[in-house]
Amino acid sequence: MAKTIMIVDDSASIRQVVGMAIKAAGYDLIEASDGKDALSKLTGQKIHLIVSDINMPNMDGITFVKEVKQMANYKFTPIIMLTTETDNTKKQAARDAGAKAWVNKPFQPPVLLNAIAKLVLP
Amino acid sequence: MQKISSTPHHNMNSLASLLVLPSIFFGAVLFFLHGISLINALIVLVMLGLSVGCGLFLWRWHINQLSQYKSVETFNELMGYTTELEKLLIMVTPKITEQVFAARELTELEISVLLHRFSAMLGELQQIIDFANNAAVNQSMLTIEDIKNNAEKIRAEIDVVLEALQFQDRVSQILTQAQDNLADLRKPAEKIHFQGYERNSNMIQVEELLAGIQKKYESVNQVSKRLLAENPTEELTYF
Repeated sequence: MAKTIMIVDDSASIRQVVGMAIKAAGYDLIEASDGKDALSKLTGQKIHLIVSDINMPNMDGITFVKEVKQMANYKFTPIIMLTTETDNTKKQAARDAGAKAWVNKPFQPPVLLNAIAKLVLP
Repeated sequence: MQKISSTPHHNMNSLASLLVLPSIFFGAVLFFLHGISLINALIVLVMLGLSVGCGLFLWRWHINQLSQYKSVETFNELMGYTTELEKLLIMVTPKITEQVFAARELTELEISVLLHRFSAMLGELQQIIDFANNAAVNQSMLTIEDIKNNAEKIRAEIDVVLEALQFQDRVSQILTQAQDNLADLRKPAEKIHFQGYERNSNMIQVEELLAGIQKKYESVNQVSKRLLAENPTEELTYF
């Protein structure tokens, strides 16, 4: 059975780009347009990894990571931050919130897929 | 410059001469009728003082009125100019916003269409690989290897395209920022336009507005520079 990855990004194009790379690698995909939307879609089903942007409307990526880490079903779900952000304080904030990796946009699909393969839950 | 500054002084001298003339005439008549005496001399002096005083007072009042009129005229010109600028801002920004929005929509549409096409290509590619694998029994290993190699090359090309498409997404984000900046520019102009006489000189807070736009631009520019750098910053960090 294919593992499920959630992509959280306010840009539909980025969701499509990530989705293409992830689906081509054999994963199932759940899309969310921001942190709030993503939280509403975390309803107890198994999510093996989350890829999240940082700068998003309604709820930013760092807050989203903090919220996920408070949820019993998802506190161990690995989260990769996928962002154009270069600010080291934000990088540190993501790490403190509980993110497992940081990938800069624009990303090379193999780089993201390698990170996913390394971190995805069994 | 010298000519301009000497003109009022010259006018004042002419005015003083003009003002004392009736008093001198009055003094001459007085002395002729009543003879030269201390009282007559004092009366003439008082008359001189009064006429010069009144004249100067009226002259200054007149100058003051003129300058006030000029100030009001200049102020009205400025108000007209400001109103024109506001109108320009209020009328032009929606047009630019509309164009930016259209450009954004087209960019996003282009990304979406390209992505769907590549998605379909990926599917077909996968079918070719699957077919090649299934037919492996009846084919020579060299042909299968060739197909697999070609498939890998195509996949690598698609990865490059997927990376390039993210630049388009960046363009779309820049256009979104431009749209927001235009909206930010329009709001204070509209507010001022409807505030009429309650205006003050720093209501638009242009510096603040510019600083915000510059900050957004720098953040975009920083990313663009990083994207275009020969050795981009570390792409992946594990925590």
